Amino acid sequence: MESAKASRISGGRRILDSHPGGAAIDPQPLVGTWMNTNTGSRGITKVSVSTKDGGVVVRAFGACEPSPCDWGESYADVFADDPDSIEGNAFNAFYDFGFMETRLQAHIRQGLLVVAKFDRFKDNSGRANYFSKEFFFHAAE
Amino acid sequence: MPHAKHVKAEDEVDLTNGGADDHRLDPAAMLGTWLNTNATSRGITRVVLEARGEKVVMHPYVAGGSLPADWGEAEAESLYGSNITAKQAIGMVAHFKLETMEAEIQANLNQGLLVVGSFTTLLDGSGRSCYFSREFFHQ
Repeated sequence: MESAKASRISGGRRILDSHPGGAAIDPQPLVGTWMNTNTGSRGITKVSVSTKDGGVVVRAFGACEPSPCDWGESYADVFADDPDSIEGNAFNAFYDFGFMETRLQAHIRQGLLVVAKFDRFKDNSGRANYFSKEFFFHAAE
Repeated sequence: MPHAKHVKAEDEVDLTNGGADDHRLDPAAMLGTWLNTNATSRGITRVVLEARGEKVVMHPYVAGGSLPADWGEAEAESLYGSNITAKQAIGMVAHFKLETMEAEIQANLNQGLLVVGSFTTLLDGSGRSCYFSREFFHQ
């Protein structure tokens, strides 16, 4: 079984640069390790969110055998839940694996990280682009 | 047995018989006028999705206030089904760029509703935050 690793860090911008003229958003509510509530997921098993070099970095892991596929890091854009708030509660991240592009749309709702995933295939494998949504809980550090 | 590249199990597919060329998605279920379920929303009040040839075009209308009321039209960057064998589109992504803001819209169908996630970046120098909103629309 052939699996592919993430090709590069992609997407996102540094917090201070990402919203020119706008407020600096505090990413702390998003930071940490988020585990899929569905232990049998065939999608994303874990999402790690951290700060790095002034930006927010997402590292996702896909369900693979014998061990999860490490998608690598991607800088994410962080968003508040309204224009007058500086508390980050959502991010938008992008991965380009070469054969596929994946957009992650994530937001916190009732203590869970809800991750909507948009996968677009570029390899003429006959696979349809598709959308899915999974839920993650914040693992104790 | 050749398999296509994947980074998660749900994308595994057997390529023994070669890959199929036609993975187009039918957007019919997404088309039409969608109205916000929240009549007092100060965000997007209405979304119109229509087919133009093989493309889907999105036209959101906003309540106004600090955002422009009409964002104009944008073609869907991509359509998305529910899995790798899907034939019907249930999701799309579109980008809007205006003078004072830009937004990435990620929308999907769920139980008869159109769920619209909007990542809005303000370019008006107002000092306000970029923000995410998620709203529900019905036909």
